Amino acid sequence: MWSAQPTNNVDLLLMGVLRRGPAHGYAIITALRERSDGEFELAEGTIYPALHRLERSGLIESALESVQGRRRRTYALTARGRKEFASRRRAWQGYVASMQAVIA
Amino acid sequence: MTDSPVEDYLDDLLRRSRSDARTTRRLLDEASDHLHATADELHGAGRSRVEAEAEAVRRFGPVTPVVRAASHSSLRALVLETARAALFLGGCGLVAVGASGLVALVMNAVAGRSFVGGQTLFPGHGASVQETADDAVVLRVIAGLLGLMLLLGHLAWRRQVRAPQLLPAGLVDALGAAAFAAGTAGLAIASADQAARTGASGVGFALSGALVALPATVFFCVRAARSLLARPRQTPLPESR
Repeated sequence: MWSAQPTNNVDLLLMGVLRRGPAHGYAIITALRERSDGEFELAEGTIYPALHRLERSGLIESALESVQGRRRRTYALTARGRKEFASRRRAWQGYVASMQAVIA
Repeated sequence: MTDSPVEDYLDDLLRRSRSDARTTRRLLDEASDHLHATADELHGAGRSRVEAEAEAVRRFGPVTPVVRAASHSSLRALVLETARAALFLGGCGLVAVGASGLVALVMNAVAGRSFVGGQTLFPGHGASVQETADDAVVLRVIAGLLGLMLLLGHLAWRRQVRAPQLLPAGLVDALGAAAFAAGTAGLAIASADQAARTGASGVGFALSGALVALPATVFFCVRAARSLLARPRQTPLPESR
């Protein structure tokens, strides 16, 4: 079930950011905020359990790196994740088109 | 409370986490990196260190939803790992049944069909010795093929989904060893009981299973011992600041 609330579509949003290239959590949140013109102000901490869940599902993968003495985990879409993202995006676009047709 | 809101937040996150150790450690690692990165940026933009950290914590959100989301995620992973372990053990069990069918086939050829088919453990509802001997082969081999499919499914699942180990090391193998040991003992007793009642007739029915269950027990014991004796992987804890 789709919802206009970003919190209900976190997986799709996260995959949408990662589709453009690997990123760590902080960069993902920044990209979400900037690309939505500040519309999507998620509680930043809640993206990490979602990222972990996506990784366990095999849709994204992660690698550890060291940046300025801090350990940082970078996430990237897997091939399966790209397919899944394309499929979910089509479904979402179909939903939006249907909503638009009704409320326009 | 200290003069570092970020450290206070991380302490709270650690205290209230209900996830497994690895999930908690990873969450702390990432939260620490995220909060310090935000605080550094805000500090660089002119805020005091404490103000910058307090704002970073505010943006990160309250501990409760983070802990709850991680806990749900962790529980789901545990359920999936348990299901995967059940698939593995079930597959191994069925493959062992299939292998016992092949042993029964050899017994039929070497010792005659009555050695397997003459069993009285499970009355065959009028089935002849020959039918029982043949069923002991065919039905078990079918079960074995089903077990092979389960094991292939388990293998594909493992390759597809990379997951941290949440079940204790060696638990699945220990369960497998216990199940096969119980099977070996039960089938050996049944064989002895059959032999005491009917001589050689029908002994092969249970004995063919015991002959497979015994090496399977040894196999799982070795795997369990290796898992239990293996050195734990050294994963560094999050650095304290």
